[in-house]
Amino acid sequence: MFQWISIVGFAVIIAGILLHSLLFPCGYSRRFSLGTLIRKKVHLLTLLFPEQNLNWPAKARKFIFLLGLFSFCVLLVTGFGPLLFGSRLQGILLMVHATFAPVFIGSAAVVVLLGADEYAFRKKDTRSIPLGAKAGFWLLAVLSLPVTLTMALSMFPLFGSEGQEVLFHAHRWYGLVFAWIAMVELYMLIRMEVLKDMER
Amino acid sequence: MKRYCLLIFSLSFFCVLPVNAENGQLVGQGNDGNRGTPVHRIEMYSDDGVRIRSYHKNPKPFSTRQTCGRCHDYAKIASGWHFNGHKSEELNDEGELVKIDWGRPAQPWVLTDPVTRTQVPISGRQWPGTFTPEQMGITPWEFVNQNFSHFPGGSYGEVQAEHPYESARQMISGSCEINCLACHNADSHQDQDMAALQAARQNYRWIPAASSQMAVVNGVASELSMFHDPQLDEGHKVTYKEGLFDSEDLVFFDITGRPSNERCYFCHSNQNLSVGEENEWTRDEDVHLKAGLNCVDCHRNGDDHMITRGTETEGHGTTLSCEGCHLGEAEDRPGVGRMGAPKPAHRGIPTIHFEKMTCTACHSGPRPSEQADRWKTARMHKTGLHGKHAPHVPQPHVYAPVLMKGADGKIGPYKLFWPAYWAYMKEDSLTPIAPDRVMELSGNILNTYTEKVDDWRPLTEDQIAGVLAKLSSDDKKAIYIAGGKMYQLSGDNQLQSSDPPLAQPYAWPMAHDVRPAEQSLGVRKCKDCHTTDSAVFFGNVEVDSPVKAEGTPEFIEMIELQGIDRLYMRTFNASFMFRPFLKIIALASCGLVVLVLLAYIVRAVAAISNACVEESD
Repeated sequence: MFQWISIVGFAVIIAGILLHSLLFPCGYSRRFSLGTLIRKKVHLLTLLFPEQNLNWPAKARKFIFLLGLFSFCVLLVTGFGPLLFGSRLQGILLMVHATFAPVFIGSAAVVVLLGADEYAFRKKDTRSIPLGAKAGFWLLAVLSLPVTLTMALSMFPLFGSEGQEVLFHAHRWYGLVFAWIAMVELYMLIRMEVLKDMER
Repeated sequence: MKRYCLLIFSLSFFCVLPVNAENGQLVGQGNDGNRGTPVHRIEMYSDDGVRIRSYHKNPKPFSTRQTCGRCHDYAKIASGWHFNGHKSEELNDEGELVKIDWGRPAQPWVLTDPVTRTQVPISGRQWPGTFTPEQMGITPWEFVNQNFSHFPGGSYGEVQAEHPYESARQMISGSCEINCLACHNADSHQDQDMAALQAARQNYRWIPAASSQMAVVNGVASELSMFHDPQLDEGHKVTYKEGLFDSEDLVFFDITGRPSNERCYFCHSNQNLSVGEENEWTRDEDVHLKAGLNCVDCHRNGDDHMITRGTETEGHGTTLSCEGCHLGEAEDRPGVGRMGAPKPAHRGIPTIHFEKMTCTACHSGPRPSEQADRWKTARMHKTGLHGKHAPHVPQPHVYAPVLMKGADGKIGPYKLFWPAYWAYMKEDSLTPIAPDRVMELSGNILNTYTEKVDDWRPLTEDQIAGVLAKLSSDDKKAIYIAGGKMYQLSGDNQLQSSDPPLAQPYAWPMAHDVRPAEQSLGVRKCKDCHTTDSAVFFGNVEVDSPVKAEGTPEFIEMIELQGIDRLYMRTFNASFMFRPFLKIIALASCGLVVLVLLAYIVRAVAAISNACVEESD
């Protein structure tokens, strides 16, 4: 069941994002010309680079965010990739997953710490962060706890076989929901950054 | 004429078998639920069905088939695990001939011959890697003579000899009936060493009487002339113990339905040679025995004597397995806690371990060490014998515990030895060549005196090439297997070696002795197995072979028998060095996120409170 729910869920989210980006494009007037498409891709790529006007703390923050993003992608592929083939996470993929997990967890914690103020809900907010993105940020911050703890606690001699099973399944389900929300959040962030760039 | 008389006599005997009036069963069959042991004060009969009485001047030995078989269905018992190893098919309850399911491979018999450098696993059960006696050209008579000391009777022991010489010998020795008393005699006088001595003398029909010490038997069947007539000639002298017969000529058999562990041990003992004979006393027994259970508490059987082997895949016996008692996950009848079995917590052990490994992998046998130990088994090395009939049997060299992947795809502890034999190869199938045939065809190539090295007479590649040339013909290609290698001659008569699956060691699961939970693998956490030099994966197993050629490995690592990539496992185990960091980072990160969340929750509460105050103002 988990396999099908995750496959369908990812398909719906990816399709939704694509559809939304087509119906409500941001920043570019012509939607379907080759030039626009290339410009969009290049623009997306440039989002990965630190802006030249950033100071060192901001650059470090971006680097940590990108590190977290990269490890998130690795975890996504290694964690849910085998499901596409009816397999489970094991062998080399498991090692890669476990190697990038602490990188992601650490990065995520730092991103939460540094971004909390920016994403805080305020009565009079001067910043242009959409409400959805803020909600996504805090949801991801909350979800990162069960996703992390379900795996971390299973490594301690605290839970027996049944507990281990519960932790394993909880990790998968929380991880799935986390991944879905993170994908939507990323989409919103990208739109936000693109719009910000277009306004300059 | 004599045979017809015997037949008529036997038929008349069966007409008066004691049967239960209600259901027509023999009185020893079935179970009315009463757990008391019936007192066996019974009549004793010889193998020709004649009742043995106290006043007989030259009494015959009693026969279990005739004595025990009066109340118990001997034929049904003979289909049980200990006695059916010679059959590939049997009749089911509907009278149909069905193939017997032999289950997972177990310890085979072994034919060893030091001159031809042969040690080959033999079993009528056709387990992969074994050869049947028929394939080896061994007659049932020869098979019993080779394996007499720990042979429970029945099976090949009761197959009518076809060869005239063997038939004549069998007439003298009698058939090797099931020795019911070997297991069921509660009297501590029961002496299996004596049974082995009688068998060594080919006194097969005298075994139950002599080994139970109800009678003293004088005579050696193997020394009697082929023309000896047991009915007429004086041969053996049987003297029953004084006072054995009561006033009604009935005999008390001290029978138990629950054989003691010591009875099982005679054939099912194992010795770890690394411990040494002088320190044998330091070895612990199975934790189940120490907890008060007996072998037969788990290894049970009904009238058919199909003893539960304790594996999860056996029909009605599945609940009498490790999982059955300790986990008991059957939905219809939760069996956990059976016989007081504690349910294991397995704290901190990811459940993937239970998919990839057997329970015994962590709990049975000694903890794996840098190198698998050498072992002796009662049946292979004929231990437990104390007279002139006690042979010194150093081979085969059995290694354990070897953690390897079994037919069920799970890693578990095994015992193994490396078969060595000459054979003819046709496509991918092998037909082994009996040692005497090898000697006959190879002349004196093998029969040269050489000092033994590690119990083997060393074998050179020149000798192998020479013998293979002699054994081969235009239509038969001979090969020699030893130490995991297959040797054969190429087109230009050069000796070639390869490592085909056919040459792999013969292995069987090691279920006992089960260690206490506190001594199992994993109790010291992941590092018990997941280190870069872990004995579980990288422990060595000696490659036992008489051939000591250059380039032949002396050891292989267990991981080669586990079907796991070595580099992967080493890397995976190495990654456990970083596991503490993973835990620290995970917990520290969670702590940080919790602090941030708490801080903003407090702020949010304060904001809401302020808003409420402002609103009310």
